[in-house]
Amino acid sequence: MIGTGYAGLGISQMEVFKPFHDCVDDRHRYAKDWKAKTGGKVIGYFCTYVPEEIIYAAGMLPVRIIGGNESQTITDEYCSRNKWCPFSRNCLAEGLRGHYDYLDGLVIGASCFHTQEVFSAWVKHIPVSFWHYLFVPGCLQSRSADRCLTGEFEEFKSALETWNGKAITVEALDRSIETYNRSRQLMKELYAFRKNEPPLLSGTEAMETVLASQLMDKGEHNEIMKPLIADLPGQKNSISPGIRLMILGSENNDMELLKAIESWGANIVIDDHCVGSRYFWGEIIPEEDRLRAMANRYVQRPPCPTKDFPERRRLPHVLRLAKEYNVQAAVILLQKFCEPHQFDTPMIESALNKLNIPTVVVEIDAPISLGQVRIRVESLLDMIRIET
Amino acid sequence: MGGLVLWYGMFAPYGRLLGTTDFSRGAPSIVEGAMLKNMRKYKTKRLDCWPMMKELRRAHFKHTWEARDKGDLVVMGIFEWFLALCAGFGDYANPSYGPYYTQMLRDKEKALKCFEVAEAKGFRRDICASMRCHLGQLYMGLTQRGPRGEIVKPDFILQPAACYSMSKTGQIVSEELQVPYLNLEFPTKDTKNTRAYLLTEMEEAIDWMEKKTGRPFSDEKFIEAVQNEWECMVLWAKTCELNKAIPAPLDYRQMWSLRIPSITSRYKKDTVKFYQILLEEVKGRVANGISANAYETARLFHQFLPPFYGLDIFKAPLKYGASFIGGDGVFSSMGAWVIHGDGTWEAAKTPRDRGIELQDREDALESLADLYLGYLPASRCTTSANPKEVIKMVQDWHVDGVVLMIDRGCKTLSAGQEEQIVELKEAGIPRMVYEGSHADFRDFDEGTTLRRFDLFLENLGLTKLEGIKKEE
Repeated sequence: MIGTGYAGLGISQMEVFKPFHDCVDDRHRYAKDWKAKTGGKVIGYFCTYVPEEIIYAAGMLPVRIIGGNESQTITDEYCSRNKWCPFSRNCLAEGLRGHYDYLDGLVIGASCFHTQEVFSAWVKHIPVSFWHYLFVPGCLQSRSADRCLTGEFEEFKSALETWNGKAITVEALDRSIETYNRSRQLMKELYAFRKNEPPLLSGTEAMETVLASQLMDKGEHNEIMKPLIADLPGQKNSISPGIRLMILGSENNDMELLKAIESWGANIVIDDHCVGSRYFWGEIIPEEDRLRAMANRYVQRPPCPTKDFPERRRLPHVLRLAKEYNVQAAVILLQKFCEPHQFDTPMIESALNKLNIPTVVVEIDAPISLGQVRIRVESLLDMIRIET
Repeated sequence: MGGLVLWYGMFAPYGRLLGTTDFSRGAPSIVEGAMLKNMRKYKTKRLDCWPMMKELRRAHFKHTWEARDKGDLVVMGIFEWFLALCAGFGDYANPSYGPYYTQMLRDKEKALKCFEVAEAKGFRRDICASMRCHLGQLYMGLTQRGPRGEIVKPDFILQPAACYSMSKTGQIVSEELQVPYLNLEFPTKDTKNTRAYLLTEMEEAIDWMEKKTGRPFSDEKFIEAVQNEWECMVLWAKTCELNKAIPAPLDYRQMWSLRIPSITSRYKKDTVKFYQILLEEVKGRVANGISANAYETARLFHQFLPPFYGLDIFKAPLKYGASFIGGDGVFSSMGAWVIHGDGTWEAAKTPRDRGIELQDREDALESLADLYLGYLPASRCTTSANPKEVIKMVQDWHVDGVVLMIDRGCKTLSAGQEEQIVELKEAGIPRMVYEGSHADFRDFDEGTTLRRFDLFLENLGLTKLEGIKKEE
């Protein structure tokens, strides 16, 4: 059904999202198949500040490194469990188990120390023929941040070209930028359907779609998205009305958690975290210097808390999303030990509460204790029901 | 196993056989053939320059409350790097994010209140304990309050960002106190591009400070301050190098205190003078065989941050005649080092020693960038830091065992820790790992840690020395 649209074909809403669900569910299979089919190289990346556009322009498949949501001990010797976040440790676990054996290269856009530590351990213990540490300024508000990031992108492009033995042309960069911008537009259009009451897609479907875009060939992802977006408004909405929730905080790719929250009577209508909207928000505005144009997008996009000072830019963005998506309550998911988000949480809670949006903070360890989460989230939902 | 043989060989000249004690995973194993023969008693002597260090520390604390009368700026922030930048405006006071940090940590009752206030505001216990202590002071209204109740509002906050926890804390303090805030970032790798970024950041910072204070920036004062900063950091590294001597002229506890003037005021001439005096005194101690402690049955390193409130743990080995003689917590944070390809740490040379004269602001800015990106080991990203360096340091400082603290709150200074433990293990170097927090006493089990120390030292072949007392 890919690329053909599904209106009038008797395909259920769930089936529409199936390619994304399948990709997320068996993400290594997708990359391996892509590699077998194209003969191209696959580059794993940590952090959404990595300029995937450059990798894509080189004819390679950028794949975000994602771990399982599980308890494991394989990483204990390299990243102790009493210090580093479970998301990062589980990324490394996937590598140590050999699940990413198809990777040809690895790159990080420096942000939090957790992913940097894992990247460092990966480079030392899981051989890849190419790796690159990309410095991303923490002071993105500095006047010189875009220049610095442009320089980092130039170094990365050059390193990739040398390793691959092939130059990345301006035309290839343009095509890549266009594909990525199209993806961002499509994702925003899809997210806009969540403003409906009830939303036209569930939080889980939205998350699978955006996560799949970090794992799949962007062009292919776009081709699936186009008819989906065209036809979704005309479909019978199978989503039941619920409390309109925002999810924000640390990285989160736990679909079971999202499904569970929605099964308790909520609709997750928007998110602010780096596996979700922060990944695709903000387009590249074309300019003569392609890499500078890219850098500007990464400087201007909604920031990660590790890069959000001296002025707070993330908070107004979160509040804007909460208003636009008519949010009734917010669940702040914090990976254990995720201090960048822990620093932001009191201010975000306070600001949301002032808008009469109650919040609950849920600490995520791997695996998540759904029973504990349920008590907290249901209390929040009950509070809204009583008030309304 | 080749590495293991090599390491036995390295330690042979010191009359010690190394075992394979691994305290990083629970109960210790038995050390086969561990034996430490150095039972010689050494001369000890108090450091003559110790009172000078105390006076410099006292003067730094008092300066915050005297700065206004002197017409000096009050700069808030954990301003432990790029100190010369503000010195372009003359002398300045720096009360960090509250002048009572050290006092708080020493007084568990006060510290507890401080942490609980921060936690009640929503700052969770995984956050850096130092920052929680600062935030506690902030919300308790202590950040700007002097010993006699006077309030001194800072002119601005300038946070050289070694980590985002500091940057976030600066942001919160700035919002709460309504004080202008600027962040100055350490790039985590050293390239032409990142140096250019740092230089621009510093230029921006100077413009920003001039605008915020309405004061002119003096290039002459700045250049002198940059030279002083270099001098102090090089002098400190040279002092650390002298601790390779057997017996070590200083112990970790002394070094921890001696490095403080460098942290707070190394842009000043007086501070340079102090470190020159210290270096000469330590040279004299080495020449005369004067030891930090009467016995040196084993020489220990402490890697990563120690518990600031529980520095008495460094006295624990003394009853076995063993001594902590260094580690990255005292070497790297305030020392300027050249790190060679084989992992050797060597004290750097100042620009003047290399024949470089700083002529103008541009020269001084480049020199400052060079100091922090090229010579400060703590500024490297984890992928460029070589965990094998610890092995070379163990060899060069003739160390018998390494103790490491896992601090869940500090991600920056404990980056690469696990890799270091693996390297030590593979090299067969005795090591002990304990959990703690550099600033939150609630995360440190002193009793258990001390018992593990006993086991560790006994596994090094040491026994408690009857009648030993610390002579200094």
